[in-house]
Amino acid sequence: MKERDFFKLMNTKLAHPPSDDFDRRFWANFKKEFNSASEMLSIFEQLARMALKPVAVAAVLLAVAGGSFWLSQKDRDRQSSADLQLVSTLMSQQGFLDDFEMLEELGETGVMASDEDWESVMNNRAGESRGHS
Amino acid sequence: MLKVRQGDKKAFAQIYGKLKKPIMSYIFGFVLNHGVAEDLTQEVFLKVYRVRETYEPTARFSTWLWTVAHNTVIDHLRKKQDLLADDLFHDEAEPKSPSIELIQSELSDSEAALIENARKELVQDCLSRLSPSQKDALQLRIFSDLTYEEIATTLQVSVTSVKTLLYRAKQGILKCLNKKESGDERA
Repeated sequence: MKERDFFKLMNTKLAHPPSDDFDRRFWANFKKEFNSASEMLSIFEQLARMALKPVAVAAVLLAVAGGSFWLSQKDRDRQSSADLQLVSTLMSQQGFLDDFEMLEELGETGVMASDEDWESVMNNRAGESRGHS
Repeated sequence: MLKVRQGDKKAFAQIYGKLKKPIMSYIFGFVLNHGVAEDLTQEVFLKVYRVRETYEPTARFSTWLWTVAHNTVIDHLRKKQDLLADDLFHDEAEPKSPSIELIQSELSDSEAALIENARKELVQDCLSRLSPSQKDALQLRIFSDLTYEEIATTLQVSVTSVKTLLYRAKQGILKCLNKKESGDERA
C-alpha cells in the first residue's frame, strides 16, 4: 500500500545520516571532555584515600595492641590462679613435706659411726620396740 | 532519563544512539552542509551531557533535548548572520488555525507520487524555501517524536501557531514540488 502520510514521506526524502566515523569522533570528543573531569575526580578520591590510610593503619595498630594487652592480662590471671591452686595443694600436704625436709636434713648430716655402733644402735632400737610391745 | 542526569554514561549512550540520526537530519535541513551538520550534532550531545543536571523532569527528556538542538541551530545561524532575530516565529501566528485533521490528512495519490518521485535534492531545495519557522516546525514534526504541544514548547509559540506553521509548510512543499515538476516537464 502506498505511503500517504506527508510527514513520513518527507522523512524518507530528508533523512541525512551521519558518516561512518561519526561515532568514533564523538566518543573521542566525549572522552576528552568528560573523562579528564572524572580523572581529576579519581585523583581527589585517591588523595582522600591516602589521607585516610594512616588513620586506618593507626586504628589497626591500636586494635592489635589492645587485643594483645587483653590476652596477656587474661593469661596473667590464668597463671596466678594456677599458682594459687599449687600453693593450696602444697599447704594440704604440709605433714609430708615436713618429713621430707627432715629426711633431707639427715641425708645432709654426716654421722661418723662404725658398723658395730650402728648394730648396737639398731639392736637397742629393736629392744625398745620389743619392750614397748 | 534521570540516570543521564546522574551521569550514567550507558543511559546517555542509548539516547545518543537513538537520536543522533534524527537530530543530524534536523540540523542538516538548516545548514545544508554535511560537515557543519555533524559538528553541530556532536555539539548538541556534548551540551546535553554537559548541562544534564539542569534538566528538570517536569518535561519529557526528548523535549528538552530537542530544545537544546533547536537553540544550537539558532545560535549557529545567528552567528553566521544567516538568520535575523525577527525571522523566527513572528510572521506566522494567526488567530485561526487549521485543524489537526487537515494537517494530518492523507495525501492524494498524485501528491504522494509527487513526493516519492522527487529527487532528494529537490525536496531539500523546497524545504530551504520555507520560512525558518515553517522549516523548524516541519522538521521537528518529521524527525522528532514530539507532540504538537511539545513542539510548541520547544519553539516557544502557541499550539495554534504550530498548526498554522505545519499547514503552511505542507502546502508550501507541495506547491514547490508541483512547480519544479512542471518546470522539469517544460525543460
